[in-house]
Amino acid sequence: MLFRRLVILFFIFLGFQSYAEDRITGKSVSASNNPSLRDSQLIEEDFSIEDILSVEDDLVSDTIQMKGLTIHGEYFERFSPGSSINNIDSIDKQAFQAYNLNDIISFKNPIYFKSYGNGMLSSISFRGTGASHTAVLWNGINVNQPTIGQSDFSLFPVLAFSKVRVVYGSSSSKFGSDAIGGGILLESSAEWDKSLSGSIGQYMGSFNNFLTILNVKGQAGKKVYLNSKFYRHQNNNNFEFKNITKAGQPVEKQQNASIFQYGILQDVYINTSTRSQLAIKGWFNFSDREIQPTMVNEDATDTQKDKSLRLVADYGIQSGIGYFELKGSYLWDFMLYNNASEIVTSQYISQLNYENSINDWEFRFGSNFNHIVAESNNYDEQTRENRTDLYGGLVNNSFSRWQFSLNIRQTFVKGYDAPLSPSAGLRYSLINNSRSLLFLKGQAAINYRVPTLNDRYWVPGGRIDLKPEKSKNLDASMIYEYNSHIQFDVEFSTYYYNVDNWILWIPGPSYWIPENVRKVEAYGFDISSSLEVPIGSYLSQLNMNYGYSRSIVRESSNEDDVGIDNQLPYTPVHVGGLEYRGLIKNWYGSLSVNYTGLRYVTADNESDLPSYYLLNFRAGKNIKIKRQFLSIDFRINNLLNTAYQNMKFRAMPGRNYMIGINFLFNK
Amino acid sequence: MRKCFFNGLLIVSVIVLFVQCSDDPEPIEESFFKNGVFIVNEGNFTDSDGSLSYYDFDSSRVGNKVFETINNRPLAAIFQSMAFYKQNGYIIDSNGRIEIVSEKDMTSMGTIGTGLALPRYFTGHSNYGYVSDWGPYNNNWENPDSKIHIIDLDNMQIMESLNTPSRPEDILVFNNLIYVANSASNLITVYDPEVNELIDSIEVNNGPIQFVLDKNEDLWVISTGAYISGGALQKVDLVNAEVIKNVDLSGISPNGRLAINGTGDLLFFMGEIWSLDYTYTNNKVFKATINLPGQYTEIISERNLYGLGVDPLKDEVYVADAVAFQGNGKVYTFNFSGEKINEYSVGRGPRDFVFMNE
Repeated sequence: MLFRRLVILFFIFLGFQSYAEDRITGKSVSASNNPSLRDSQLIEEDFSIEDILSVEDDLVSDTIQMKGLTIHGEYFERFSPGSSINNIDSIDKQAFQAYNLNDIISFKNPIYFKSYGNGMLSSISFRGTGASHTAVLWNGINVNQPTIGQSDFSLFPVLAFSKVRVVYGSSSSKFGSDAIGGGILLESSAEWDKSLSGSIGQYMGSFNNFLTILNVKGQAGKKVYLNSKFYRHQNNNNFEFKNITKAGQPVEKQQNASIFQYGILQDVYINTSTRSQLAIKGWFNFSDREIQPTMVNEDATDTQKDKSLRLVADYGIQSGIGYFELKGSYLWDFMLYNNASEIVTSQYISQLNYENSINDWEFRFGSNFNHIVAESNNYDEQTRENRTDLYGGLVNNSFSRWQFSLNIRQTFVKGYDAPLSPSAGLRYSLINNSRSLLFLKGQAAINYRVPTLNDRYWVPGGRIDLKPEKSKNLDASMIYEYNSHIQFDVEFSTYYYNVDNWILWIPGPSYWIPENVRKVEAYGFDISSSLEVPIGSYLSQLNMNYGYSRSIVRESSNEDDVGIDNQLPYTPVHVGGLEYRGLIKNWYGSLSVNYTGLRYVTADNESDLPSYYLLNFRAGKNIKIKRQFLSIDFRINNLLNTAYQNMKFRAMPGRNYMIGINFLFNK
Repeated sequence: MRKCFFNGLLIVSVIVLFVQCSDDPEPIEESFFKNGVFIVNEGNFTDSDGSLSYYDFDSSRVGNKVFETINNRPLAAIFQSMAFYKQNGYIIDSNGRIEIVSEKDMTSMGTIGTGLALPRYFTGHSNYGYVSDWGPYNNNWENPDSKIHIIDLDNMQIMESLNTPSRPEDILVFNNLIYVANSASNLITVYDPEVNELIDSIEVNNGPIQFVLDKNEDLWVISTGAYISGGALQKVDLVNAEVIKNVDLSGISPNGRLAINGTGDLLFFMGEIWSLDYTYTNNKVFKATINLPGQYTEIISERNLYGLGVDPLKDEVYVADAVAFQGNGKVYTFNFSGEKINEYSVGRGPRDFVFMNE
């Protein structure tokens, strides 16, 4: 036993984390031991889609990436055998380079985003939860804005991340506050052992939409890896729409909706020794947007500027007594509304994690300390809040078929008692042979969301005495994978949760006031499936996803709450997508349809917005010129020119086009 | 349903609102909206889902989304108020828009969409319309640039805009003069429509919102107060332009709603106290005679009331329950002694009543 453990540790030292992972996570087994047909087939070509992708594939890279010391990077998957996780693959990431996270996540997952217009504020509703019930972690740090406890996904360009993972179901014991509906994990990582490479990408689309991406990356010496990226995005966004609120429904051009955005990313990875690595990652994003008004408010001239600086330094060392990780992070968010109303928050975060294993038990514990400083015209004075989290996790690997884990977390914030957040997860492998995999997973957990700074300090209305929201979650899922000439996988997951002390802002005496008003109960299921069929050199892929979620107010301390027994507003019961993708040699093409179900606009469910389907087409070709690659992507969004509203009276564009050219050079 | 709609007459679709379609549609009347009450549903300001409801006294039926049904498009308004003048109705939308409809059948007659910021109330005089407008918010959420717009009713365009103290609300014509209550001040401003100029200001309590004329042609104004000063009900002698009676209402926290009965001798106003946890308001409706306004009596006590009206022909008080704007609201009718006699659901955020009598 001890010998086996040492062997594992040895492999971990060398960065063979895939070995350890293979033993633990079923998905990796299929990926590394049975390279997917797509990969092997494409490798036969002298180059492939995978080659030209500037980002590493989630499946391929885990096995290739050996010399770099990405030690213990995947702790979440190891300590969450009961969670379902969707990795967004690099082909999709490439296809969505010119788009934002909300676009790609809703395309690949049954997750609804409430969007205040095209390219405007976009908030997530995951499994029927509210916008602040999904944790968004950038390189392990929660980047939800502490003022509102949520993220505007339209400020996260897809190109900024090398890895996007969607974690279904509750995860507070691992991610901390907010992770009631799920989590979004955004990461960047090094591709050791690849020579210096760079890329220039230019996208052009309807409504004067332009995006430029520059990227240089590669190893500098034996111990240092650098990755630099710059992007600049501009969109006049003056699309035409039919103004249904006016007599005769005239076709008008959208006013006051232009977008300007740029950003810089810089990652530095240093292998400080054979047993330790330092990674420093920085991301600055600037966005200056006009705020798209409703169809009825065409004269509006509101604007919003957002600036974010996110820095994280991560030092990991494998010592004789275990693995230590020390993280320091600085997050700075600036928001300026109409050049007048300003909100600035700074977060100073330090994290210390320790991990080790004894026999077949792996364990991890750590602490996260966050000092938040917020300044806003709407707060009385400079507001400071300290949040301390202590957590631990345990996973057992002694059985070949069974794997179970326990995780626990406690947050401490002055002014209220956050609930203790434990979770227990289980995975059972029913079938695990070279062709088929069948896993059953389950998880029970208590999760929480702490009140946001606005909830507590907003003047007028904020209430320091608010209690955190507490939720009890049950998740169960089943995964089946079949790998042969054809590949097929299906994942079905179902869930139940109830959230107590749900915070709601309700109209007060001339202003709104947050209250721990509701008890919300939710249940539903998600299905995602994909099928790959090769015919000669032609590869067909069919992907689908569907989510059913009922999210219902059960009790309310407000006797006049008209929401009781009703579905939450802007929480569709049905969402789904279907895509056909074809790959042949260096061509790909895709036709997809995304469905957004009816959304209620009001709590009494008397007013609603109809469901809609959007049909999208994209195609691309990759051309190899010696060692350089040129890729061309073309897409048509909203092929059928459907007139639709995501939110009431917010116009959305009809049929529109985008073409992108990427040139990738290798030294 | 189909047969009805294909009659091609819009009035028929109005009837459809109230009378379930039968094989023999009701005979079409000259004007449908003759004997009933319009309910102004403000809607939620972020959703612009204001709508117009109508309660028909003859059939005792309520029709919702009247504008949308007749004009085949949503009203899409933050619906503040509605007034009728010279066969037209003026729907005042705080999104900076006035929808003009025909009084006869509520079909759209046009839109005024430019030159308005946050319009509140409309009144007509001679061939002109007068609209109070808060003006845009500045960066401190104040409205320093408030206006009274004068609309030429021939071409439905703003011909002139006059300055007024901040946040003008109720507007009224009496004896060829225009009176405006300016809620972020302590002034009622008086304009002469002959020359379109400010000619006088009447000093009242802070925060005047609504006013009514009694049978003696005295003006009653209700104000909410400001900061530490409480609300008041005041009688203004319009001849001498001065307050001649003051009733301190700081004990009941008036919310600015004021109505008078058809004979002009009974005043009704509303007080508003927030619950300790601020989740709802306790509202009380008080009744007072114009002779002894200080001796007001409580007749109604309900939660979350947002609108108040009095039927000019019957002794009935109308109150609107906005259910905190979370969904569709309700209208309750009471007699003058405070007994509930009717109740029905309307649109989101009901706030005002416009009575239609032949």
